[in-house]
Amino acid sequence: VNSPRIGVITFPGSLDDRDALRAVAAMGGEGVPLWHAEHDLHDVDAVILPGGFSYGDYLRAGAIAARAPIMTDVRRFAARGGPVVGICNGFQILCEAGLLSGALMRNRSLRFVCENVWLRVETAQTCLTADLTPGETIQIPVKHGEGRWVATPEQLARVEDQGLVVFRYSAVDGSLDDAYDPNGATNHLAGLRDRAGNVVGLMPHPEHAVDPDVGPTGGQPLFASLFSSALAQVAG
Amino acid sequence: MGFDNVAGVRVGKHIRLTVDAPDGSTARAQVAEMATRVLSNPVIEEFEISEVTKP
Repeated sequence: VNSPRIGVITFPGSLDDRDALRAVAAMGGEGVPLWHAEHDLHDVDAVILPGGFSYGDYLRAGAIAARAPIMTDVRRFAARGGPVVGICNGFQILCEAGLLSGALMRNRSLRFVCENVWLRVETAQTCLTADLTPGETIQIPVKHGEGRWVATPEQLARVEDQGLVVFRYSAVDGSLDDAYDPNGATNHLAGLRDRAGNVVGLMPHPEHAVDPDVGPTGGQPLFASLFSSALAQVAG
Repeated sequence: MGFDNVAGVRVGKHIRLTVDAPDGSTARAQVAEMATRVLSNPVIEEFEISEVTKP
């Protein structure tokens, strides 16, 4: 069995790039470090934009990284169906780049949140959830100060009408309530996809949830899905 | 602190640009483009160009 080559981009200020590479390796993939200033994806089968504070998040979270040299190549890769996953700051970058709809604003509480949350899977039509079943719940940690997803009324209508919500913050049984939502996101959105489903952004951190020794393992099926999507991409 | 009549509060960003351009309208057009393409995010922000002056 081939192991998929998963690229992880390091921007200045990325924090979770090493954890993402480590999680890829722990799950049986080959992690490939990528550098923001290069125009080279090193023939990877999928790309992860990791969490952190790229370029210090000056101006707006993800705004400068969205215009980094390598993003031209990420755009091209995504346009031809390559799996692209943005985690936390990576999600902010994908929104700033226009690859996903909406924007991430300061948490409603105005406080940084760091806790394990439950996510209800809304669709399996993505590179990150292909192995999951809509309605099932997984546990993954969040840690962010600006994770409250918002959108224009037109964007929100499109996102809901086209089923672009990938995850919502929920209870373990999948029920929805403000009490389970760590940041006050519109419609409790925790993860979002593009129309084709090969670009996904999420605030929770699957790379921190693959090792049972240190916490929940809700990230495992997401990496497994990403790997099969990446290999399907190679085969296709 | 006794400021009991404050009904709302909003914090914004003030970005001061010094632009080398042949005239004010050219500078204003360039700043408008920068504001649209990178300095602001139209989903969550709006911008206003308040002044164009020569140094």
